Amino acid sequence: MTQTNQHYNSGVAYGVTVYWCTIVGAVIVLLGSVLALALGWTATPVEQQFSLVLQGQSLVVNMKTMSADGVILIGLTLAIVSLVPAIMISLPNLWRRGHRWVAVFGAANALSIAAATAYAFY
Amino acid sequence: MVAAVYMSIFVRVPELTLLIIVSLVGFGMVPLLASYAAESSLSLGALVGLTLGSFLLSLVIAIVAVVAGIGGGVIFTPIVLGFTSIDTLVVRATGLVVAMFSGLISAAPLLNRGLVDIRLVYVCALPTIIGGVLGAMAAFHLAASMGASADALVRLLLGLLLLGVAYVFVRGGGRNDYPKPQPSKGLAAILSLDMSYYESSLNGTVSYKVQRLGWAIGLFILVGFIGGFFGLGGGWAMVPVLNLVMAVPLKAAAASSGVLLALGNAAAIWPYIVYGALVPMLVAPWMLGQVAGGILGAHLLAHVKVKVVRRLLITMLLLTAIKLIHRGIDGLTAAEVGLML
Repeated sequence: MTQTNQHYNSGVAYGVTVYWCTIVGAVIVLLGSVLALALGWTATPVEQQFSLVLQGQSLVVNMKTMSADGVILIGLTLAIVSLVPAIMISLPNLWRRGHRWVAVFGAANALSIAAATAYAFY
Repeated sequence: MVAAVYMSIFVRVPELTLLIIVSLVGFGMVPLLASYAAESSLSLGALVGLTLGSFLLSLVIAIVAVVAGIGGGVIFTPIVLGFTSIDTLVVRATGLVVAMFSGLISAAPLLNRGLVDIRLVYVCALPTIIGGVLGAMAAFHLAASMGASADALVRLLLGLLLLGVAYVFVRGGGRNDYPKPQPSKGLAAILSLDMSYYESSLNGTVSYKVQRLGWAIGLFILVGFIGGFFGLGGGWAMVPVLNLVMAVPLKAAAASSGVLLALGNAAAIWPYIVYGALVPMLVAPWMLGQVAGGILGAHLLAHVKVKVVRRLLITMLLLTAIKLIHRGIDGLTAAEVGLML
């Protein structure tokens, strides 16, 4: 298709960064799931996790110790946090093309996501 | 015809083919590798079946969600809350993951095709993020202050909300496919969010100018709050706001909504993780299904009849709403009787 909008490249840069980070994140999540199911490398046994969840009970999974649960969380985090570099990569082009207020909105989005992530881990 | 479309997608997008094959082989190999305790309450077959079933269901939900531009959360959360006894906070945390991952992965193909304007996404994401975080924190506050009856109240409120969503889809369906471009005013004029994209069904370029941006920002805070509170994501309301309030053409609104959803929920998911409501083993197959289905849905968007998807969705929303209201009233009545005794 023909695309003449000047900010088009910013969108493509954002999309490609998020796309590949999400795919890498998905592979890590898959690895964590297989490790949990096949090797039982979890703080709480998987069958016990599912039993409790299906019975409607709440379940606190310990994320601090390294286990398959932690590997899954790393995959999820990678995909979510990839939004921050993806936005940052797209901003210089927007700024140069005169969309400066939009670039400020973009930077504020990146900052909010980074702050929420930092709050969750500390 | 449909099979040919699917085949061409699998050939053009090798990473999708690889991801689906690796997922199926990975889960399929588990019984061969596992050393499993015989006295376990759930058999290994049941565990693998649950995981594979979740993955395949998530894949289908993601295709429907991307094509309709609503995010998977609005399908996943009500169904699981309506038909299972899983804790509502766990369901809502998983619902947010379901809502955002199809949006994350479908961003690249939709932005490449020029259907989504990244400037529009950035401007609308900030109020959605703020609303989403407030909604997620309110969910935990309600759970802590109301105890067991909070679950029933959430089911009842969600059921009523779904009735409203179904009404929006019935009323708004196809009425504003290509809004007539009007000169932008106020904030929309300052940000000059004019955009055009190539519309294959018209074999021409569609241009639009964003309207009423100030109103839309207020509405996106509300949409973010509801999405974060119920774990729906909020895509169901983003399409009407973009299309009916901001005068974005329907197809571009549906595409933008998915991308916006991913960005808008990226912060709202963290309070659920901090409070331990996210169960990684439960979330994993749903995330994988959303990634694979999100890619498929983005490539199918040009070929699918949106009207068929919309009708299916309305039927499903109505049935789930009835079930949720029924369970909500039952739960509240039981809690009241318990208090009286």
